[in-house]
Amino acid sequence: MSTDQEASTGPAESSKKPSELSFLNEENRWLLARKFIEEQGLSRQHLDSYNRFVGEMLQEIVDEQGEVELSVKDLKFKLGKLEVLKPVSREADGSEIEITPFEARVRNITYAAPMYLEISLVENGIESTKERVYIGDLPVMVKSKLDPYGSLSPEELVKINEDPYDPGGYFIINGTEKVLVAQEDMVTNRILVDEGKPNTNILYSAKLISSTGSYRISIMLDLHKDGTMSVSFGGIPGKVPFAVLMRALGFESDRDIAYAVSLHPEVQNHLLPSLEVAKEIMTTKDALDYLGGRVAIGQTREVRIERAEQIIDKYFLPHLGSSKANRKDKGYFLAQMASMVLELYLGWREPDDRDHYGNKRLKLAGDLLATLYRSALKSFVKDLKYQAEKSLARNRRFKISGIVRPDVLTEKLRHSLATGAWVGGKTGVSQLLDRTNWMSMLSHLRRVVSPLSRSQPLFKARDLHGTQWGRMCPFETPEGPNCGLVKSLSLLTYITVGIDEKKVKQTIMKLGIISLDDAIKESLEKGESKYADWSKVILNGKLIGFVQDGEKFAKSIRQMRRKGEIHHEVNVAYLQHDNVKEVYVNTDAGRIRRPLIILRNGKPLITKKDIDQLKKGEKSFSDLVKEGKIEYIDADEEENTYIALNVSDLLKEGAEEFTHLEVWVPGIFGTSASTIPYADHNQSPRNTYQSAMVKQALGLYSANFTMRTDSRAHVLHQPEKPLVQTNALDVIGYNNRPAGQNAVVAIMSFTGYNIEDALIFNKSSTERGFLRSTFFRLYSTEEKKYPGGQEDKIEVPESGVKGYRGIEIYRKLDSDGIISPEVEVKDGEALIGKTSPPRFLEEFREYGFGANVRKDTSVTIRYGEKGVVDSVFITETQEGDKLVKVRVRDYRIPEIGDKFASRHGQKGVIGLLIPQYDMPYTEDGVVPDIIINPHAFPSRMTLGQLLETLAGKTAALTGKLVNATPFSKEPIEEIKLRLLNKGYSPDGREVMYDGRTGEVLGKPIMIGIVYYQRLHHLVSDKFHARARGPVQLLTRQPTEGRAREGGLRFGEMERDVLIGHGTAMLLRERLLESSDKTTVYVCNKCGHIGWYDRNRNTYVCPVHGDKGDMHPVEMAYGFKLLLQEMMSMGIMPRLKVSDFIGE
Amino acid sequence: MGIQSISVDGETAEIRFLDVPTELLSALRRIIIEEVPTMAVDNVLVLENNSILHDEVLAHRLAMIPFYSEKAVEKYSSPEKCIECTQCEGCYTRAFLEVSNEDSDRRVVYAKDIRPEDPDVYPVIPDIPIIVLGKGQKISVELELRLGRGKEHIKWSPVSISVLLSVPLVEFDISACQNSEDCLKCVSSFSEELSKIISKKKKGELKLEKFSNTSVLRFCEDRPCKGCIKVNYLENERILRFESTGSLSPKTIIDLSLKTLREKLERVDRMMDEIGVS
Repeated sequence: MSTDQEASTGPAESSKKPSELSFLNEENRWLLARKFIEEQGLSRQHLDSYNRFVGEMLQEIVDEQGEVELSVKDLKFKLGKLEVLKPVSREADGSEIEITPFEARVRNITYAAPMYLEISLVENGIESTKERVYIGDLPVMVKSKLDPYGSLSPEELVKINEDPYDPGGYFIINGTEKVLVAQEDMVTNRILVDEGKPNTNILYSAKLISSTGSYRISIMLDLHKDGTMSVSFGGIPGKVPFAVLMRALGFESDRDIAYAVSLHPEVQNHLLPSLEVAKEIMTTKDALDYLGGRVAIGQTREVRIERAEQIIDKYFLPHLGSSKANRKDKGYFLAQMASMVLELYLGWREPDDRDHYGNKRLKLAGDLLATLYRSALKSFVKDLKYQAEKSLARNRRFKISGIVRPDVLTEKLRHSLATGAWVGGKTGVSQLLDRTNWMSMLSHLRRVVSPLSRSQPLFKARDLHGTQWGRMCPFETPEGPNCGLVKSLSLLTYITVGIDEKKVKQTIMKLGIISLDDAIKESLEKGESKYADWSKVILNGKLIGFVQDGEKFAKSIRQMRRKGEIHHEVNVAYLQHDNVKEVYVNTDAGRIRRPLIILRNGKPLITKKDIDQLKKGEKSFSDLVKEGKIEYIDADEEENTYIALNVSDLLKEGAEEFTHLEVWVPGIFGTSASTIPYADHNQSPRNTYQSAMVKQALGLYSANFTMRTDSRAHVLHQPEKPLVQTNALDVIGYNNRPAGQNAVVAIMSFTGYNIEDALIFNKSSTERGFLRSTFFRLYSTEEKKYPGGQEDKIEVPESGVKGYRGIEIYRKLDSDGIISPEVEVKDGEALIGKTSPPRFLEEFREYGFGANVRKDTSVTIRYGEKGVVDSVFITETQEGDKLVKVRVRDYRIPEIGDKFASRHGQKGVIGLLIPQYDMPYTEDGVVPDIIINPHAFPSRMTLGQLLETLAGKTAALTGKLVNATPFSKEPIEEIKLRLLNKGYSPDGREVMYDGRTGEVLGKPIMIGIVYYQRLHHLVSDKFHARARGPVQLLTRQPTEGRAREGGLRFGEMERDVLIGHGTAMLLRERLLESSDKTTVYVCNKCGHIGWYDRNRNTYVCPVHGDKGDMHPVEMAYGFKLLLQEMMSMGIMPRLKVSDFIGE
Repeated sequence: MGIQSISVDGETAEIRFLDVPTELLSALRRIIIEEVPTMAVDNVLVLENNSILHDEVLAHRLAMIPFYSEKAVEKYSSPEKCIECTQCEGCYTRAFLEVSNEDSDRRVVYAKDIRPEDPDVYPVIPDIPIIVLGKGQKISVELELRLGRGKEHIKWSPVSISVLLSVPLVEFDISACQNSEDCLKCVSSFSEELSKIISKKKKGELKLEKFSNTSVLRFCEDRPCKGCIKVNYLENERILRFESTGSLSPKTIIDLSLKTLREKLERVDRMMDEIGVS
């Protein structure tokens, strides 16, 4: 190989022989990945984003508002410095106390910090008073830099009742944990070209979403079949000819326009039709007049021009600025759009791929809060203005702190976070953090949703795209309508928070860029251009100039980044397609990037020494980034790379071509998929199923579960760490918060009670505690105070109270009206006795008795549930009301119908519990915990589970965990050998005997250890039957659903069966007798429904009165309702009554 | 018909039967698991428990502890008698567990901390950890133990292992092998001795006197030795092997299981008499 020769020209560290690369073995690359994850934590994206929000954006948003002019002349407010303090709770007595996240959760408080803003009043240009006023509370993200408990040591965290491993990244709103789910969005301020829709006049078009903080406007430039181009954007109805808009922006002559668009004569030539269209309008004034004519119809020329200028400045490409000075920039930008469309037309470039991750950005907690905060601040300022003007109208002087209403801001923020309804009509942005188990929480924090309409098919947007490699988990996505739209971040990702592009621009301008202005000016003078062949430099979507050699330019930026001369968040891509050469420089926020090991001449820059130092903790992962040995690559820059998967690739011929080496290949998976051992041996949908199922497994969801007040929770009793491990399990915390147990599993058919995915469980194993769990449910109530001095009272209700449920129900309550811990309770029994004042005072006065009858509002155990009172929390809300929370626990032993799953998408319910003496046994006397049917395997091809069976057995026999990380596991042959050495068959099969007869079974049975999860679908929560029970008020039909003791629906198809069989009597019984049968009196003379007169004990016809011929008719109450509803619409249904036929 | 050998090694026992019907031996095996009574915690009265474990989990853990029952099986009434009665004599014995951890960071509570009322009923293995108490935590529980059977709950089973095996008979004909070398290699990983015998004798059959696990041999039979080795299991030669949890000695287990078996058969006999069959 020629590598040695080439390497000698390179710097010292790259001149190594291939064999010396062995230090980058699986173990050490995993070390790199581990250090990365450990340093970042698993909710880094949200924390980074939020930290930037509070660090910079918060003040920027305030500055955007700047000054608030009042309607009174020469009086305005100036908004100054914003300051956020520590999270506190404002108590009922007005005091402020510092709170911990734990206290916020228990007391149903929002974990938020007060904001103070300097507001000064400017009178006649003179600043008169300056005040620092409290303007509202900002929700604090747990573990962010605003959270004073974010940096505590594990011991200190335990002291304040926190789980020391909790990753943070969520908010606590009214005591519930809320996540702001990352939103995937199209890139803004970047031109994307595409082909026009078939059968339209449009050949090609360029699209752009111009977005700056408050605005978000989409702009489209279309190339028509006749060669003309037109622009459409929000400000002006209809399409505007391209050249007209250019003229309006100050590019008057055709030459100006042509050169602004392109320096290529060929492209310029294609502008002819567009210019032809606008030949009537030759000056900027005329153009503005034309535009103004669209919006200000029937106005004078001056007004029209003024309106057009306004629109251009405000609604056209607002990201470039909103003053007159920005028009030139806007013109260049528009010209650039035209140029790109024409280039596409000429076949010089390809249409942009909308699903490419380079064209996607993630909006994280910080960005989402920023939009919310901006709109909240606007209404705050509006209110401030209103209040100020109101008090000015009454008397002259006011104190700023006296008129500020902090509730406006606080409530707007809190309301959005509590309900998930965001500005712009988005819903489901803020979600309740899923605390089923550790993995479900992590996955929720790392979830990414695409707002692309769910109803539309959008097959392409749902597909796995090549650029998702290493960014989004290829497995973790739900099935059904959200498939491919809800995704999960891969383990090795870093999302940019965004850096100031001005600084970057200054730096790169020195690298030989001829600015756009200069280049065009020069070309215009000379009439031809040498810059036509140069590369365009595009900074965050905007063309800023030309460089002679784009590739070299990109390289030198990369060099600077590696040396630390330019921020590490800058990414650069050189893209060439025919005549089009472009350099994209990105500095914006929300790009998903992944770390890669840099290669020079096919040799990694990382050295053995680095690895050793990393191992000893002398160096961190970010040190390697600083040293330029590892860099983060975004999807755009990745187009310029050639990435080696493994070190072995670097030993082959042509290795010099590689630019990067993957840090750790299994890092392409997300947190959930990382739990799957031997994932690379499974059929891919099975991994998707497991990724969904791991979030339903019961385990230790949080170490502080005894203190928490989750509304419902399950805890597995003896969770075990899996014997068959993947590397990631350790670092994502699964081994510390596991959700399953290692079970001895035999694959055989036995008794037939495990067909169709049922499982046979060893009854004796469950008696020994196998996969037992506890279910917690929280019941809570508040002693509310009502206006008018009335209040709730937590007490044992007395028998006179309205809605009294009988003395038995309240028997277990203590004298304070609250139950004690460790008391057994069953459904219907009261946990907290409470009485409330009547809801409406008039309610009772009307009937003229007992003006003040209180009603019973006690909290009782839900229908169908039972348990033991686990703990009672008595505290106070912020309003000073007594808050009582009672947690009830229920002990759950595996029973027939409970659901379980291995880690390979193999789920099943218990079909039979067989005692140990009936179970098959091996020669050693091992009895399986679970027997799974062999038919579960052929069609599903989850070879991973079979391998896990082998590996688990080996692990148990040797006492050592087995590493089954996909792509980098221990060889299976090795495991087989170890089994053989321990005296077991390498195929995992063992001679077994039938426990019922003592006879040897015909063939050896595969038996080994598989990690099993207990899923939270337990029969005891679901089984339900009813004979008699409650009916609905309106229809008198049986209620629906288990919680309401409802009936089991006899549906349409069941009805069809009875009809088909001709069983009329049964049909009648099901649909009428057992449902909503009622007797109605119908008048034989007129066919109308009559009513009962209680006083005279007769039935009355609405038409004939007492003289009606009333007959009782049996009918469904629903039918009676229908008749009455029709009557209410003015339709007169008549019933013809005749004698009952039959019997 | 008879017993060839009995070997008892600590808690495990192995008995070799010759020409005893499988049905009888299988019944014996099952009786050992499900019918032989032992003492175990049946009821737990929790006086105080502020530990991390819930009362029911603590109770379950206590139930899993094997108690010495050698003398108790004589002393206490049978579970069938006790199941109905509430205040009867000779059914229950009590034990107490009261541990509090006032000042140390963690205190492990072991089975040896249980104070039995009856000196003849005590945890067999003193070092079974029951619970870890944090600072300031305390448990105080009263245990009620009674005799019970494994069929009611596995905690009353005197054994952890109870198997009935057949003695394998290996038929071999090395000439029928496709690849005799591979075959012999495979067999040697099961037993060097067997491999040597096969390569020496070429053809014949051999009863395996000493074996623990024939899975590897069956693997060889299936794979490299396909057609040249056949493993048969002898109908008439059986091994009963069980391992006691320690609550009863292997001898007592056998005694009691035989007694139970006899009683059961007698019961059947009586029933036959009653309906006048015999």
